[in-house]
Amino acid sequence: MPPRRCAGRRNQGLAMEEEKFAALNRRDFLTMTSAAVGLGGMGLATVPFLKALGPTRDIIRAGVMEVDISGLKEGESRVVMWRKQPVFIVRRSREMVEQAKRIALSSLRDPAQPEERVQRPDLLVCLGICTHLGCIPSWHPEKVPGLDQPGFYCPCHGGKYDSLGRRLDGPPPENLHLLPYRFLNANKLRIGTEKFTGYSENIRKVQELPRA
Amino acid sequence: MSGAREWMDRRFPLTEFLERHITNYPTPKNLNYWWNFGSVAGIFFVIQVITGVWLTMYYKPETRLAFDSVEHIMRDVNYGWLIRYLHALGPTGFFFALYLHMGRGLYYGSYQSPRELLWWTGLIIFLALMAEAFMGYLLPWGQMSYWAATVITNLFSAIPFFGPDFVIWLRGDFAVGDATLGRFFSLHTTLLPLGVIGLVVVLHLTALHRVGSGNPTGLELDKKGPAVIPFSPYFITKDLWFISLVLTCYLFFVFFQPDLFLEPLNYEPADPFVTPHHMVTEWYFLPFYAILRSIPHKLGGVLAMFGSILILAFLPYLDRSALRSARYRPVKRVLTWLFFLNFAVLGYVGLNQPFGTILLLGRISTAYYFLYFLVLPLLPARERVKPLPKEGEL
Repeated sequence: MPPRRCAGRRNQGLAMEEEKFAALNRRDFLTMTSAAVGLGGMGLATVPFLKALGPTRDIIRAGVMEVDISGLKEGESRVVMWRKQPVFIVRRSREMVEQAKRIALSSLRDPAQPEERVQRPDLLVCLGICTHLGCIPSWHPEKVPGLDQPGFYCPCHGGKYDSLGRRLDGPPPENLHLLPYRFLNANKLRIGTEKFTGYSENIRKVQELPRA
Repeated sequence: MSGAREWMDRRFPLTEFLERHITNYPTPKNLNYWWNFGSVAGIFFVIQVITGVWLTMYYKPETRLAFDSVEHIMRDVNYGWLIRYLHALGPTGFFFALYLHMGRGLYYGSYQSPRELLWWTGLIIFLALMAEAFMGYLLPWGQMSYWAATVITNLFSAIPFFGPDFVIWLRGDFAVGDATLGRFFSLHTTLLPLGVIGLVVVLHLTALHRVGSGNPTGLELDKKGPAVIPFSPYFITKDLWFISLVLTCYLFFVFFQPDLFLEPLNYEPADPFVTPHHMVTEWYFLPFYAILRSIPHKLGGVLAMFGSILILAFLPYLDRSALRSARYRPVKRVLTWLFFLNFAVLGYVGLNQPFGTILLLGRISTAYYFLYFLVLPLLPARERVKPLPKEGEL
């Protein structure tokens, strides 16, 4: 091969330099992309492990149950266990319905109309967990201690609720939480849905709950 | 970032540790792929620990609940099937890596001075892992679980004088029962994995980093010489790519063929009144199972089986050759390849019922297994070795 001219040789040298530079860039690119894919994969691999910590399917399935309310007399309340939590079912008397209607919305910390709390005026279904710190309030069909209203009283810190579970007095920030239910017939209720968790969903208005 | 690093380094040797043991760890540049299986085994250990922690959250170590709790994990726990299959197939990957890792050590003479402690700590890990796998196998409380535990604990009844009493003590009952399940669960989830395997792995790596990795030539390379390169980026890259390849195969079985390595009979709950017609161990125990059945004597069989593992510990003293690697030792090379083939034959024998040709084959293979270790000390005097390469030529 004939010897190349100087200029050509210099160009070749430059080209080599450029190639080296390009190779380094390629290496950086490959390192970075494989690191990103690897880290992304590891991130995705944590998903099943995190999900495995959530409620299992049998627990979810147990979130739907039927309750017979035929024996429940007027003014009486019953506590049933739903997802290991107490649910209050109260047969409200006509008087209780009237008394609750007389409470001015403006006096409530968590305002809610009576028809937003129940499907049928004579029956309240709600979680029996005080919205303050999670104790179980007790049912007072005559008068809640210190008030002239029937309703619920929480012994832990003196939370008071009316016969619709609306907060009247004491430290609770909200009304007693509602949960989805459906009348299967006049005497039978289905409580809960598989999807409803009671924590992340709307728990204030009966109309906005998922259908049981 | 460098400020935080400085703050740390003044109080804790972080940079020093990382440089010494990872980024700048001197590694022979001529390592072949047989040197990849140690890190693969390590990854499987990590997978077993993580999935095991998750399974322990839902598993119930009680004979009336154990079987159903495993089904509960499979059916009800979110991704429980995945976590359980990962854990159930993990030992297959783990032992696969470990056997190749040990085979590498045998072929290239990695057990020779100054790596005896490396070899012995490795053997302790191997033994502990066998105990770990065996105890974990009882936990699903299926038919194979129950009868494998019965048979293996009964091995100890062959010990003269106190054998039978020892078996009762091991089981905590007159037959495998709730007491056995409880102790196996405890040991399987606490002492063995963390106290023994985890700890000895640290010792194994510490010993490795004192003496340095061997290499296919068996030469002791100068750690500052041209034949040695830093672990990062060269071997980090090689290890990671190879781990990804092995994990891909492993996940193929986890997702598409999980039952290939799981015994169908173990989906029947344990029944102390019905022994399965054909007892088979998990594949990674088959060769040792074959040795046990090849000896027509109870104590003899048990001794041969434990002896076949114990004899590995004497390798540094059995093989006195000045050369490590079988690459330059034509006779050891052939004998060692035959040893590997023989090990596979033993596995095949273990898979089949022990009579006729299979029994004969098992006895010949068992004989060769031990013969190998008896011939090794005789080799150095007679074997014509090949010339070793120079370090600079690598």
